[in-house]
Amino acid sequence: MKKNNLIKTLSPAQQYAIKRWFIISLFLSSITIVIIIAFEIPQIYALQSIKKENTALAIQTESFNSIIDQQNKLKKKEQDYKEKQAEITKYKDELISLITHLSTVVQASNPACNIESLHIKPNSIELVAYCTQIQNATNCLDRLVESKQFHDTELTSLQHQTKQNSSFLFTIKGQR
Amino acid sequence: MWPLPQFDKQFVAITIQPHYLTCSWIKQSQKKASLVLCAYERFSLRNLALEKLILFNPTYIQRCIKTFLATHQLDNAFIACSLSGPSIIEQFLPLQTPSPTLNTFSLQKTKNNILGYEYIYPRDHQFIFYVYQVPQVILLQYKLLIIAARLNSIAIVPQRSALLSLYKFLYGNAFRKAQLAVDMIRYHNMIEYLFNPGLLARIIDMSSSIKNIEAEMPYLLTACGLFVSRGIK
Repeated sequence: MKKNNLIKTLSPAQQYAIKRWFIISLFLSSITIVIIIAFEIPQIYALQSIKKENTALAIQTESFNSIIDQQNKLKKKEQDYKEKQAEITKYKDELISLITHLSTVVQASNPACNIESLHIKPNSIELVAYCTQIQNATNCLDRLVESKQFHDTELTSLQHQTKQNSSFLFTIKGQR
Repeated sequence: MWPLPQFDKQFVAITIQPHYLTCSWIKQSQKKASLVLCAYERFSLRNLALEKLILFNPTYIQRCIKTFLATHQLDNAFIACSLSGPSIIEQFLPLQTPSPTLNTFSLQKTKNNILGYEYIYPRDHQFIFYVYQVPQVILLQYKLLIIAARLNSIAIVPQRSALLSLYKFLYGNAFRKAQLAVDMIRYHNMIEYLFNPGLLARIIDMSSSIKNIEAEMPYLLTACGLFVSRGIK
């Protein structure tokens, strides 16, 4: 005999099956959620701790901002001063170098040569002087070469001055 | 349990007949009788509460059912209803084919009726079918009653369908359609006459809670038929 029924309903077996399915699904979902929570909670806790620590440090370092600004200003000033100092040092060194070169040239020309003119340029030097003998001019050149403060030093001209005056005018050029 | 509606393993059979409504709480038993009647109550439907199976006073009928369920704490029980009355057209039709379709039956079919059928027994190279028609309007009323009363209804069946199930259950493995045919022919297809109080006592243990068994027998038989037809364990 077939089961007659005038209404379409869920049979008790189907209702039990749905209940079983629901309970198993609920159980598995709960386990899944618990596992996820177990993995996630330590990370969330760590994040919260870091946030708290960050907040506390931010409160502590609020007064540091003005100090940091001041430090930055001072660093900029220091940088400016260093640049100025570098410029001064550069000029000072150039001056010392100039004096050294000048004294070298003066020592090299003494005592037999009289300096007529001396052009010291940033990269070159040109000495024009009088001497009574040619030997004096070559000695002066040798001394300049020996000083090792100039290179490519050479005697570019040597000429007799006048008939009345027996001195020689010579020109020495070199690189600084 | 949310979101599932609760239900428990209890079964209540409701029989609705022109002048009476009965509620029976039935359980499976391991004793001599297969079933146990835990509670039974018959409500009288007077003052046109129910006429030709039309619910004229659904509030009263709902209250009767809810009272019975509340008294015995059966709010979540499985409910099966049987209907019996002049509005249900029932016939035993002989057919030439054992596997008919709805079009095979020479009944006046309308969209307003629900048609059902069931093969009963063979007779003289013919096949006797139990055919029933229930008006949609009446069925809708009972569906609305079920919804209003929040019943976990699992079936609504004609009374004779429940009795046929009970007959098969009574014979168990010894059930033979030929024997059913003999019995049905003997009683002119009045299946109610196939049972007697002795058979009822074999089926269900009433524990002497019902004094006039003969008066209550049609309702109890239907209730037992509802229980066995639904396969509740």
